[in-house]
Amino acid sequence: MTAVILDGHDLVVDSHDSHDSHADHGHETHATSTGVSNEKVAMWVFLGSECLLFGALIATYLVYKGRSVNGPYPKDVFDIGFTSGTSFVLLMSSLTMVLAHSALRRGDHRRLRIWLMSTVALGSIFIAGQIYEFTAFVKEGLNLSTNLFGSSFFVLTGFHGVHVTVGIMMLAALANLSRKGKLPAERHEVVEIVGLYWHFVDVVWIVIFTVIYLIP
Amino acid sequence: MSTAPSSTEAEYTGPMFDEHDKQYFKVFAGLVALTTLEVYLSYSPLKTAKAGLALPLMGLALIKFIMVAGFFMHLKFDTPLLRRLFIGGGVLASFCYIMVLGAMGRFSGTSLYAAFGIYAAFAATMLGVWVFRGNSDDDAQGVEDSHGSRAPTSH
Repeated sequence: MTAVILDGHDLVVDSHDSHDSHADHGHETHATSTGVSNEKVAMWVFLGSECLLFGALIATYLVYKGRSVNGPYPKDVFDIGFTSGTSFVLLMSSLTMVLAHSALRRGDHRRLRIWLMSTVALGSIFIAGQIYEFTAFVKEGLNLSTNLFGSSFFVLTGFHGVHVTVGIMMLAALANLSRKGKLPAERHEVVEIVGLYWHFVDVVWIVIFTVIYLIP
Repeated sequence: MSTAPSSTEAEYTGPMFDEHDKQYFKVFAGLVALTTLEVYLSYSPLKTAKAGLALPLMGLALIKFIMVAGFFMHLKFDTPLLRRLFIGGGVLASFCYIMVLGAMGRFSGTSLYAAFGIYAAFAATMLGVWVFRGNSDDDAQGVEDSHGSRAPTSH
């Protein structure tokens, strides 16, 4: 049976019981002109603008790549093994994020909080790794104004780190809402929208890791 | 933070994971495998060959990008509108930045043709998904009335 739920301004038709359908991966049809909730469209438009931001930062890094006249250079400071580990942690956080959303759709609030807090923990580990990496680079003489590599690297990865930190705060707020009983299963799209942001941060890191760390 | 359930929440007694979760685990396993392959390649003898490593690594990154966007961000299953927004924006933005890199002298000689050839293949593939995948999904997303409003329909 299809449930009709009034969710704020939108009429929501929830197909929660059609769990076999591919279309049941975390969305339902809203009575808006687009068939998608306004909040979700807004998040996607925001993510589109974020694509342009990170695209510009990555393009800037590539433009300046190999043009530093004094060291340290990337090969002098990068520790691929360490960064691979933190990348793995961030990838894993995307899995726990999607499991959190899935748990809320099933009405499993306890596991929702467990997966949300796991995502917070993994995101925090990633940030801790980035702080350690930045500290090590500074000790080796690389800072924001040392050379073109330092400027473009710290700005790009620093912006990404800020995004991860904002995501951690949003996830912690969701966990707190759930703890207070203010996040019922009918509002699972809130978790999905925060999840979109979190996964976007992950896909940006996929590109940064490859372009900056792996390609010589 | 406490994970104790609120008194207003009914105790959930169903399974810990459902079919979708199993799919997410498979996608995650694929992502880990691709990342491992990327790191392995970065240590391989190909590293010494100029531009010999960039192409396979970018290809692997693109596959990982599509896997996360398609499965974890639900673009594969969501409405065509969101997919078109993302693909359309991505194709235009990447074209813009490739032009910037070309203008700044990052490509020369054959690498310029290679960059635009690769980009053309990428754009054609994405636009193909934009058009054909989007149209095929329209049928499952409800029918628009004469005013362009989409009637809510159950999946």
